[in-house]
Amino acid sequence: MIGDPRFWRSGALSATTVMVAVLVILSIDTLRAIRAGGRNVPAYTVINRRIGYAMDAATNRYRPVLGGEELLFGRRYSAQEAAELIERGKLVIQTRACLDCHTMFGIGAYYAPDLTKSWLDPIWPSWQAMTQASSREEAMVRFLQNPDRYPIGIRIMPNLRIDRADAEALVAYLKWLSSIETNGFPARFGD
Amino acid sequence: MIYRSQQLALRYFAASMLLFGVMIAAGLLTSLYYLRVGFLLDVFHFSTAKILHIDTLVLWLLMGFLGSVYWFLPLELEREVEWIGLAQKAFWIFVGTVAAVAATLSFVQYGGTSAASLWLINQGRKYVEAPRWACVLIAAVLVLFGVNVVATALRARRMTGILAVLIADLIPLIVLFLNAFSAEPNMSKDLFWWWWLIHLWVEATWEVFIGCVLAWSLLHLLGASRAIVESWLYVEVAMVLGTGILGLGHHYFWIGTPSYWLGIGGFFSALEPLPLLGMVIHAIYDAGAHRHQILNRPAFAWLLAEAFGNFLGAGVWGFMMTLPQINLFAHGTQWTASHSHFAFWGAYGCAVISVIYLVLQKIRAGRGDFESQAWKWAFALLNIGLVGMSSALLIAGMAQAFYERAIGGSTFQAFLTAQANRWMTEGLQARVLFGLVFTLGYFVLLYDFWKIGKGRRAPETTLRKEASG
Amino acid sequence: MKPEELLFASLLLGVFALAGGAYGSFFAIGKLGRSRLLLFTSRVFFGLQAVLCLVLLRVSTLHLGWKLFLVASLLGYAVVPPLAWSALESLHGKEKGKS
Repeated sequence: MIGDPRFWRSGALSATTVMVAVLVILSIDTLRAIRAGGRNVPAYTVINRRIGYAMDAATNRYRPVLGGEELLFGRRYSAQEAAELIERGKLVIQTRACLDCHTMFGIGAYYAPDLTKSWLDPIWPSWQAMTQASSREEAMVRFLQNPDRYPIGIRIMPNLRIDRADAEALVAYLKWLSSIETNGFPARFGD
Repeated sequence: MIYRSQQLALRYFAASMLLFGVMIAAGLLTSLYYLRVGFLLDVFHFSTAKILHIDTLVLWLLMGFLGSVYWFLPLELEREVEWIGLAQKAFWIFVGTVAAVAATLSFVQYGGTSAASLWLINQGRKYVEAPRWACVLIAAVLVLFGVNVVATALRARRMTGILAVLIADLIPLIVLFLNAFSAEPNMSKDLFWWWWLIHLWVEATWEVFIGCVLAWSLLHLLGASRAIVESWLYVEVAMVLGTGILGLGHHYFWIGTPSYWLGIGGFFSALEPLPLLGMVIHAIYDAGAHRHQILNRPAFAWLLAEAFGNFLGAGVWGFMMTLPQINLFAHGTQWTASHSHFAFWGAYGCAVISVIYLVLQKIRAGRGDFESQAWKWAFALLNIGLVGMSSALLIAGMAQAFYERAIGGSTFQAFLTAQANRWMTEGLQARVLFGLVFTLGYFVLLYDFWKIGKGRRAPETTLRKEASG
Repeated sequence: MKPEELLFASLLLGVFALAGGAYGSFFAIGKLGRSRLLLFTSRVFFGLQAVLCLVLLRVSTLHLGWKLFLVASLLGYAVVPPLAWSALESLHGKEKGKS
């Protein structure tokens, strides 16, 4: 039996078919969970809310915590405005190839910090002072527009000609990103 | 007699080796940014060097695969490949496209916030940064390649097991590439589909593709029987797709996807060393069973390196970091880079080099022994360089996982602190040194490709000379 | 998983797989050369792998499911080399018989 290639061919075909079928079924459920507004990924209007990240005793992992209203740039974005902002943010991320230095969800290049929870980084209060900005989002915008003016330790981010509108879209993107349920990645963030 | 398709194969191999060189150069450049603060700032971004490094990686392997198929296909079907004229033109389109993309990325680097930038300059998605116009042409070349294979099989009215597997594999290979055009705003969704392209290309369709090429190599290198080789190929396909398809799940741990992927992805990817161990056993068996028939020692040595490299790089290195509890800290650090260097080399790099040696022996038959000192040097330098780089990155990555992730909590400050850690900086320095060893190996390899099998004349020529003298 | 355990556990896992690879390789080379010494060496490596598995079960804080997986994969490592070897021999033996 094992000398007959047809035996192994049937084995290969059935293994592949079963695995593809399982993958398709799981993918359907996963795509439902990760659409904006799905059970793991909040709607884009989450940028109007306060976002936190804390240890959840029940699941024994870090999870995003969504709080009350906390406006971004003092504005309340409608669903459509938020979607447009996020779309623009993503376009900035792709055109400037952010993920060829940084990572998001740990995916990208390992030359610069991970941005998954960058909106929540404890560094912003001190950077607010450094950039003489009135808020966290304003500090982020100032940094993104002129990163080479604020050298940070052993990495300097190049100036990527990001204008004010681009920078605001990026900040909104990072705020939304930090609200996604990532199964506890990164762990112990900010501890 | 050599088919036109085989001449095309030789061109693909030459282009592949050239891009291998570009990949090494870009890799060396990339490694220097870690050593000097502000290196080439605002002149040549780290991201650009990095893009050139990883995109040429994909391209030199892909061109090596295409070359392999264009070499073996006419032998398999005993006839010229259909539409070969078009394929020859497509080769130059492919090369021209790659050159234009490299020039754009080097001199323009990035564009403004508009869709035009995605079409013309840079798509900014890891591995598929090439602008859309280039992706359209590359897709066209791949489609034409598929047409070549299918049309030749139809015209020959013949179907072998290896060919059937190859044709079935070409469909997902081309369809998955369509994701190269995506600009999905939702990062979770974007990465979900992106992994279908990256993982299912690299760990499923490419594995099957290289399986077909290796099956032909075994037929020609060892003169193994077709029934055995085809059985081997089916077993390989069953194992690769049986573990690889749901192994996709180990990329779905942390991107916003549901938590059941932790179990599924962890299970199937932790299973992976077992089939790879089976392949090591097989390689050793072949080495023993056929030791008197092996006339092409370099090709066989690289085949062995492939089996062991795959087990170590994909198997052992992967197993160290794939369980979710560990991956939570190891993911997205230099540790990952260590694993990917070793795994790509073991799974694909060694195989392409092996096939090139096989082909060189065929085209230089009758021109002397197919043996040299240089191939051993190249083999040693490249493998020592690669293992050294992977080990250095492993040390740096473990330091990063420990100080930045586990202790520091992954903040910006934790990142900076870890980058300045001595284990990290010295690991990255050692990586550069081993990178230089690897580079040296590359040049020796090129020299050997040029010289091997050409050296001495065949014995009867000498005799004739003596007789006339 | 505690920070101090992270590297320890992953190194143990790496050496676990490596020992499995050494066991398989020495087994195959020993079979080829009909060398008792090499076959014995292969068993030593398998023993090492089993010990590492035990250490991981006792010491690490891997979840129960992964510990069970480790035990199952240890069994996998035990049977893959002899199974692969006898399959290869019977395949090739048949071939020789034909010719």
